[in-house]
Formats: sequence, C-alpha cells, structure tokens
Amino acid sequence: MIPLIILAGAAVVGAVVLAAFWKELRAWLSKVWEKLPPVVKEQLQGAKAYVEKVESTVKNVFYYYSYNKEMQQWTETVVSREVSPQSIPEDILKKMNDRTKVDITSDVEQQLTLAA
Amino acid sequence: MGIGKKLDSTDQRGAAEQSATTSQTLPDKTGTAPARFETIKPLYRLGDLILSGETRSSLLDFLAFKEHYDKVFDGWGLSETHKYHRQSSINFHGPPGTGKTTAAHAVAFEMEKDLILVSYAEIESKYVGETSKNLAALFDQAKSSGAIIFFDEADAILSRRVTNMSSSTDVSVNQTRSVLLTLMDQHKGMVIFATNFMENYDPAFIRRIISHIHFTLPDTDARRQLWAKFIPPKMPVEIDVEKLVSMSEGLSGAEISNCVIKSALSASRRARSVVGMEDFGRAIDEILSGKLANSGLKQRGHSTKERHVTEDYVREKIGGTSVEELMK
Repeated sequence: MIPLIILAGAAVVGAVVLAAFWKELRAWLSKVWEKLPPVVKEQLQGAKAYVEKVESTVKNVFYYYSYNKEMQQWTETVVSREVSPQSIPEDILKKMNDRTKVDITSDVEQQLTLAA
Repeated sequence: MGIGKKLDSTDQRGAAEQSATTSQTLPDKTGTAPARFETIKPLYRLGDLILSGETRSSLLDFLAFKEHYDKVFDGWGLSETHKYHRQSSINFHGPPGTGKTTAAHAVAFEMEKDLILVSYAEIESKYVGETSKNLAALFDQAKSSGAIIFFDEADAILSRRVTNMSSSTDVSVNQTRSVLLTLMDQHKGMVIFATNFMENYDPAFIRRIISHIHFTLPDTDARRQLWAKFIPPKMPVEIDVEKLVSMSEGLSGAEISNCVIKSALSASRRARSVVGMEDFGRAIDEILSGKLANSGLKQRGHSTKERHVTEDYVREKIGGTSVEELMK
C-alpha cells in the first residue's frame, strides 16, 4: 500500500529526472490527486496501482480506498487511463505475458519517494 | 436514470386526488406570514424506476424496513427507548440524472403519501428569524397533512455549521441548522433529502438520517433497460442495442434520454429515414466529452469510477493494518 503522505507528495514538483514512463505516470497522478473529490482525499486509507491489459489496450489504473466513519462505508474510487504499450517498461511488460493485471504499487511508491 | 413515464391520472389514487394540488402559497418574503409549501401527488411509482442493482436493492430494503416500523416501535417498545428517533429520514445521494427525484416520488407513491417539495429558495428569508419560522411552518404542514417532506439539492440546507462565527450571516446559518436538527428530532413523519454533494453535509444531519442510498450511474443491465425505455417503438432505428449499451458506459439515465432526443433530431435534420448508430454515436460522444471537460480530466481513455465496497474487500486489497487501526 502506498503511504498517504507520499501520495499527497506526488503533487509536489520533484527535481529528480525519471524515466519517461514514471515521469508521465507521476504527472498524471499529480493531476488526478488535484481532481479527486475532497471527500475521497480526506477519508483516504490506502491506494493500489496496477498496469492492466483490457482487450487490445493497456491502462494505468489507480484504486483509492476511503472510509466514511459517519456512515461506516468503504468506497473504492478507480481512476484509469490508456497508455501506449510501447511506453511500458520492459520488466512490467514481461510480467504481463502471463497475466492481465500487474501490481506496480511498490514501484510507484519507490518512484514517488525518489521524486518527493 | 430512473426517469419513467409519469403516472396517468387513472393510475393515481383517484382522479379527484390527482387534481388536488394544495397549499400553493409560496413563502411570504415580507416576514409577515408563515410560509406555505406546495403539496403534490407523487408522479412516479417504483416500477417506473430503472436503477442499478445495488441502488434498487437498497431502496427496496428501506421500503421493507418502513413496513415493519410500527411493529418494532409500538409493539416492541422502541418508542420508549428511542422516543426522539421515531421520524425516518432518508438521503438519496449520487451524480445528477441518476433518478433521485424520481425515487422520491416512487417512495411516496409506495407509502401512499403526498409530497411536499421544498427548495432552499422557499425556506430562506432575508429577515432574521424568518428562515427558522419557515422551517417550523414546513414541519407543521407536514404533520397536519401527513405528507412526506422532500428537500431537493439538500446540501444547501444541510451543509456544515460554521465553527468560527465571524458575521451575523454565520450566526443565522448556524441558527437555521440547529432549528432544523430540533425539528427533525421532533418530527414523526418522513423526510427525504437528495443531493449531488453529500460531502458537504453536517455530520449531525448524517447521524439523524436513518438510511443513505447511493444512486450510481446505470450498470450494463440498467443501461439496456434505459435504451429500451427511451427509444419509442414508432421511432425508425437501425441500431445495435448491445453496442449502444457498451458505448454509453458512464452516462446517467437522464443523459441516455438526452441522447435519444439528440439522435432523433440530428437524423431528422439530415433528412434521414432512420436514426442510425452514427447519430447515436455522435450524441453519446458529445455528452461524454462534455462530462470529461467538466471533470477537469480531459484526456482520451481516462475514466473514473466509484463504488461502495465491504471492509473484507478492502482488507484483501490493501491489507489489514490500516483497517485495524481505523476500527480501534
């Protein structure tokens, strides 16, 4: 799970030059974070990141998990975008040979930590 | 979603009742007389609603719960232990066009009650104390008529109270909220709230509302039913319904309804004899791109979805640690 402080930190411009994929992903995450409904951000408990193959397309998918204490209700907010398969790093592509969904949470966490 | 045909007068509980719209006097803005609110017969019934499975199920649960209300309160003594919780407020929240207003009519119809439609503009007064008076008049009217109170766009009146009051406006806002809380506690009838912005609600109201029903965008099955409902049998079409169902993911019921109108007008303007997939596709694209631009995340292939999940599901996804910490 990505620590919340790092997720919020994705909105801060970093100086470290990232590989194109991670740089784009981070810029997108930053934009998503800005646009996430305040209620999701305020009640956020965790997030997971995946690269998913859906038919002929490849997507970056982020799952945000928030909990409303008043209503005792968990909500899953899923944000995704299509990406070019050519932009996916080699190691992730290899993992996608035998599955449709690759968990990149720890990679994203590492990249965000580097950039924060 | 959820927009169905309006009831014919013969469908209602008597044609005479149908014409009996009462209490037409709008709030007096001069501060000299208490407000009166419009009471109407419900225009839709449950069968007219097309909802996603989860939303429909929650609504049916609530209606079933209401059936047992008298039994548990009077028979089982809850009226002794919960004397200030006899009223039952329900809250419909979710994106625009997902059937919240239609559902309010349907609930009233199923419960054989009239509806008092209330907007913030009718309650609010520029005179100090008048807003509270109007609220009291509203609840009095509901008590005497037995009607259900329906606050549409309820976030306007249920929004959070101001903790750091710095102006007379802040004082007035807090006073209105407090009066409403008291009136809700004392009221034994039903109140329905509907909003697109539930995150703005004051937690005190959330606690007093017995059921919160999330109106989601239509799922695949609901979209299939919506297209079937909104495309009239007489309309000449050449379409692949399953493709329309797939293409319209992310549209609300109201937007699907708009797509049918736009496609028909577009085909007619082009002097086509039938409305084809091209017309529907153009209408869907136009609405979807408008929504995307409005969300501030305009990017091809980008999508955002939201749904309620169970604690077990979250535990499986992100691990138990944060869940355990939260429950302490």
